[in-house]
Amino acid sequence: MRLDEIREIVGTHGRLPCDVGELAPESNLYEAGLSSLTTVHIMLALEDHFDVEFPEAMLGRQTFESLLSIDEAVAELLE
Amino acid sequence: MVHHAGYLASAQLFESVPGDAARAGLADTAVLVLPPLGYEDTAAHRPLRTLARGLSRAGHRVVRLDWPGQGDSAGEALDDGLMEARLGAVRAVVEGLRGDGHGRVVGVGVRAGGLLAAAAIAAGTPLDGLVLWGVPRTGRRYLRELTAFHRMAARYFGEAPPEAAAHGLPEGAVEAGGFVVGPSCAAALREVDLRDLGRAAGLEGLLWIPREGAIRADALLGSWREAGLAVAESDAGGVGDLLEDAYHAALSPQVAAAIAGWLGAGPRTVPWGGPLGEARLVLPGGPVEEPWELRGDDGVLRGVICHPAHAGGGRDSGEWTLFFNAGGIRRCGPNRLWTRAARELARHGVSSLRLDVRDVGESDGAEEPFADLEAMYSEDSVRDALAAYDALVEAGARAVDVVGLCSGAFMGVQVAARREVRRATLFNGLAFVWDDHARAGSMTSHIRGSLLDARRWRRLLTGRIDARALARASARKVRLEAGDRLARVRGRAPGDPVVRVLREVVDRGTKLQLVSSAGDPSIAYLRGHLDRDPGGWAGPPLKILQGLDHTIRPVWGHHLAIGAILGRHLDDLERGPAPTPE
Repeated sequence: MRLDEIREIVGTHGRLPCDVGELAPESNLYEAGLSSLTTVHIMLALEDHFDVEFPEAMLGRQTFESLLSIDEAVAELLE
Repeated sequence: MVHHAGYLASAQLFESVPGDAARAGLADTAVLVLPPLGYEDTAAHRPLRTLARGLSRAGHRVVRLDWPGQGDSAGEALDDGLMEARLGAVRAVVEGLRGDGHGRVVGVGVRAGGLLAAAAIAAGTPLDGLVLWGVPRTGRRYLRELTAFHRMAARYFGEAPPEAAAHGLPEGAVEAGGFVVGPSCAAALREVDLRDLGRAAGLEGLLWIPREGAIRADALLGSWREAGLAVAESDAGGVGDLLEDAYHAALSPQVAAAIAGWLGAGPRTVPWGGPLGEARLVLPGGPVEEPWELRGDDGVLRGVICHPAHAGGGRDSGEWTLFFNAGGIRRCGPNRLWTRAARELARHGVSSLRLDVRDVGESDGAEEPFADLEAMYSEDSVRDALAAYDALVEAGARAVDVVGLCSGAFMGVQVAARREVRRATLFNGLAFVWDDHARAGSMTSHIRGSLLDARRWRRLLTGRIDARALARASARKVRLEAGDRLARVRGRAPGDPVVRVLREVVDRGTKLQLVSSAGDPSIAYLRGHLDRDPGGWAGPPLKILQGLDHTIRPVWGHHLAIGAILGRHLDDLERGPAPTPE
C-alpha cells in the first residue's frame, strides 16, 4: 500500500522517461533517469504526503535509490 | 517593447515597458519580479525575462531585479549585510515606482525570491500584492532543499584534492549547485515564514502558485484569508520547466496567463518618465560597470562592461577580456565566475565585456527553449562574438583576451582563429569545430548519456530532439569514421580539423590555455583529435583541475578557475601594458 503511494509520487515528480508502474521495487531510479533536482522534488512530496521530515543524515542518494529504499526510509520515519 | 538596464541600491535592474509607453502611458499597476537564488536563478533568468516582456506588452511597467550578491549586481555571497542589501534593493525599487506615480506595486516572488519578498514586506516595504510562485512555506524548508540538492549532485564532482579543505565555507553557510548562501543570509532566511504575511500592513492580495504536485496549503491560505487578504490560487505549476538547465528552461504559458489575469491591466494612466536605474555601478575598490549594447540586423546584443577604476580618468592599458556564455548561462558565467573574474581583472587594470550572444541572457532572440545543441555552436553565435570583438577594438582595445567554457570555449577558438587574440583561456571545450563529426558526436551523446539524464529522453520523445536528424547524424558519424580509418590505412590521412584550427590559433600568436576538469569528456575529445591527426602535434597546454565537474560547481574550486583567468594576466601586467600598434 505505502509502496504504491511512493510509486505514484515518484511517477508524478520523478520526470522519468519510463513507466514507473513497470519498475521493480529494487530497480535503481538513477539508472532509470532520476536527476538530483527531481530527487529533491520527490523528497518534498514524500514529506508532504506522509507528514514526515527527512533528517540530514538521510539526505543522500542511497535513500532515494529505489522505491524499496524510499519505502524503508519512510517506514523508519513513521516509526 | 523597450528594454532598459541600470542600477539601483547596488542591484542591477532590467526594466521592460511597452514600446508606446511615451505616448500611451503605463498601467497603474507596476510589477517587480523577484527571481530565485543561485542555480535556480541561472535556469530561470531567460523565462522570467519572457514573463516580464509579456506583462509589459499588456501595459505594465516591469522591473526585474538581480539580487545583490548575484548576477551583475554588487556584492558577494559571503558579505555581511547581504540580506539587508537585498531587502534594501526591493524597497528602493518599490519606492522608485511609487515616486513615478504607480498607485499599485505588485511583487512576483519566485522560489527564494518569494521568501525575500516576504522578508521585505515584514521589514516595511509597501507592496500591494504578491505572487508566490513555487515558494517554499518557510526559509528553513528552502535551505533543506538546497542541502538535499547539493548532496544528490555531489556524485558528479569527483574526489576533491586535499587542498580543497583550505577553501571550505564558514560555519552556517549552505552550498548548492555552485552557489553559496552565506551564514548571515541563511540565518535570516531560516526565520522567514510565509504565515507572517497575514500580519503585513498594506498587503491586499496574494496569488499562490505552488510547485506542481505539492500538497494543498489550505492551512496557510486559510490563515491569510482570516487576516483579511484576498487570496487567489492557481494550479498552473510550471516550476519543473522553469528550473530545467539554463538552455532548456521554459516559461509555462499557464503560469504567465495566471499572473497576467490576476494582475489585470487596467487603463494606462501613469506617464512614462524614463527608467529607474542609474547608468553605472561603482564597485568597492573602484571598478565601474555599465550595460553594453550593440545593435545589429538581427536585434540587440547586450552585455556588461567592467572598467578599472582609472577608466576615463587615468592611463588605459588597452587590455580587454571578452567573456562568452557557457551554453545557455547568461553573461555572469557558470556559478557567477565571469562576474567575479571580471571585477578582479578590473582591479588589476584590465577592462572586460561579459557578452550575451543572441537567444541567451539579456540579448534579443528566441524566447522558447532550444531543440538541441546546434544553436550554441552556430555560425550566428560566432558572428555575435566577432561583432563584440570588433566593437571593442573599434572602441580602443589594443590587446584582447577571450574566456569561455563549453560552447564558450568553441566561440573562443573560433574568434581566435579569425581575429587577433592575445590569450584564450578555455574551459571544458567539447567541440572547437562544429562539423559533421561534432554534430554526430553531440547528437549520439544524447543516447550515451540517456541513462543518466531523463531530460534528454523527454526531449527526444516529445520531439524537441529531431529523431530523424539523430539517425542521420549517427549514420554520418559511422561513415566519417570509416573513411578516416581507410585513409589512414592508405597512408593518406587527412589533417584533423580540430587540430588544424587549434594550430592555426597558436600559429597566429595566441597564447592558448585549455583547462579541463578531471574526468570531463573534453579531455578525451582533445586527445582523440590529437591522436587522429597525422601531424604528430603534442597540442596546446592542458591544465587539469581535480575534483571539479563540467561547470566547475564545487565552490572550493572557484578560485582555481578565476586564477586560471587572472594569473596569466597578472604575469603579463608585470611586463607592462600592451604596446600601441603602429
